[in-house]
Amino acid sequence: MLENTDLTQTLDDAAYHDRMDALQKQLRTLCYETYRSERPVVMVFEGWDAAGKGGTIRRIAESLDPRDYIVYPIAAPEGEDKTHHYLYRFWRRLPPTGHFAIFDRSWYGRVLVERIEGFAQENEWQRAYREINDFERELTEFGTILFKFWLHISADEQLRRFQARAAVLYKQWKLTDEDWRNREKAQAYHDAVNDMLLKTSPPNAPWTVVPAEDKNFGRVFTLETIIEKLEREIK
Amino acid sequence: MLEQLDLARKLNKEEYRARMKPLKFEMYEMGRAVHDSKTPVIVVFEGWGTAGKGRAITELTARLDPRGFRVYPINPPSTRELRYPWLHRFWLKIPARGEFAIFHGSWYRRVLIDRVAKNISKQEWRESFRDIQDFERTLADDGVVIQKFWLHVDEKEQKKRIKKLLDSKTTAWRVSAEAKMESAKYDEYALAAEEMFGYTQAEYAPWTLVSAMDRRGMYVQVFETLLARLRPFVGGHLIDLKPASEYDAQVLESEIEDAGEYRPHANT
Repeated sequence: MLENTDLTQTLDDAAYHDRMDALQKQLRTLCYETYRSERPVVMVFEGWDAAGKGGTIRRIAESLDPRDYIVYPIAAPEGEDKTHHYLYRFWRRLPPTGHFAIFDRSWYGRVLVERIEGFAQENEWQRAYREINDFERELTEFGTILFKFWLHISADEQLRRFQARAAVLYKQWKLTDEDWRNREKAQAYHDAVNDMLLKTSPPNAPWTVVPAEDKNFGRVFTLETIIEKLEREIK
Repeated sequence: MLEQLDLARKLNKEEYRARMKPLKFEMYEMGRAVHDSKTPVIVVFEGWGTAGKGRAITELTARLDPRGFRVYPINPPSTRELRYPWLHRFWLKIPARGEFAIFHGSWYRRVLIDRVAKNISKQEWRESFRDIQDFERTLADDGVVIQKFWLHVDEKEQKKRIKKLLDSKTTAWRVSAEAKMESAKYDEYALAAEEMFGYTQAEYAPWTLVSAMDRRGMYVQVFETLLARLRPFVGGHLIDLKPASEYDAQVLESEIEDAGEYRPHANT
């Protein structure tokens, strides 16, 4: 599925700023309407390291009312999250009606990093597809508006971004040894991502693959997707 | 399934003491074995109001370390809980590895009381069966041991018990509006229960139907069932208690024997 993504699409800076301004204003209005509609919104951001999850989330978050959303960065589980079922961690972070929860990485870690690093046994990650589909079905049956984004970039672009991160002082915190290690396992991740997209895209909870090779294009694409669906669901 | 229960079963005091004593001891040990083996355990108590869910839980938890279990009484969802998918409040209560989560009432109220009282639509309670199956299977696959009890009394006995409670000011408060409703619609409620067993009986989350006409028999069956269910999961962590001295043995015995024996408002 990833192979079919057209990564050549771009958007120049002038067009980007115009478009982004308009989209963010629209999203602000929709945030209020979502609150009034009493439907919860869950957004999942997955993607390659350096694909632009953080930057995209920032563009969304800054247009929402700070009282209405929470962003959850998901790394290795700790404390109570670790002593319970892996989905417990996400059930307890669900948004109440009218609110947004934005996940920077998510329950899909089970079939991505946990699969590849061997933190989950094969039978565990294999059955996780069904568990995740059940989980998301319960969310959408309740009325949750669910978004799942995979931010896609090429291996070459990822390398350029890593190098840029290494070179620029204020970006260095974003690059870790783990990023380089993950990069060496790109093929394994590629297979895992394709399996995930294939097995967890029921009609109620489809994935959106975002062509994020060009940051401008990727961000605008994501906001447009969000606005289009929110308008459809709420109005 | 309910009509197959032997409601006439009755244990006299001596039989009860003889059978219960080893079970109490083993349950005391089992609490530790569950902790050591990091086994998460869910015990669900459902059944008729006045059947003795609370009493069974008292009897059980008296043998467990208070740090190792939590008891959750399940009431109608609060306004806050209604702002989430319906299983949310139960996911928040699942046990950590090595802990017991004991439910007095449970997610099954959705297909029992909520269904009979028409708190939710037919489509909602029908879909709940699938949500419940997925929920329990997901947990069981992860190693959670699930045991579900239905404590049963027949219609005549239940009406008698409710009347007895209502007759005295000191006990009338214990009869909830829901218990009255359930009693008034006994047949409808029994039918909902039968359908529930049909949809949610599973090897990984079995229902055990228990006659609660006689409390002693009920306690013995609950203990026997739960111990048998847990043994294969705790493996070598379950060991016989071997008190160091005769004095230790006596202290231990009185601790285990006496726990939970004192109960105000006992209505037998």
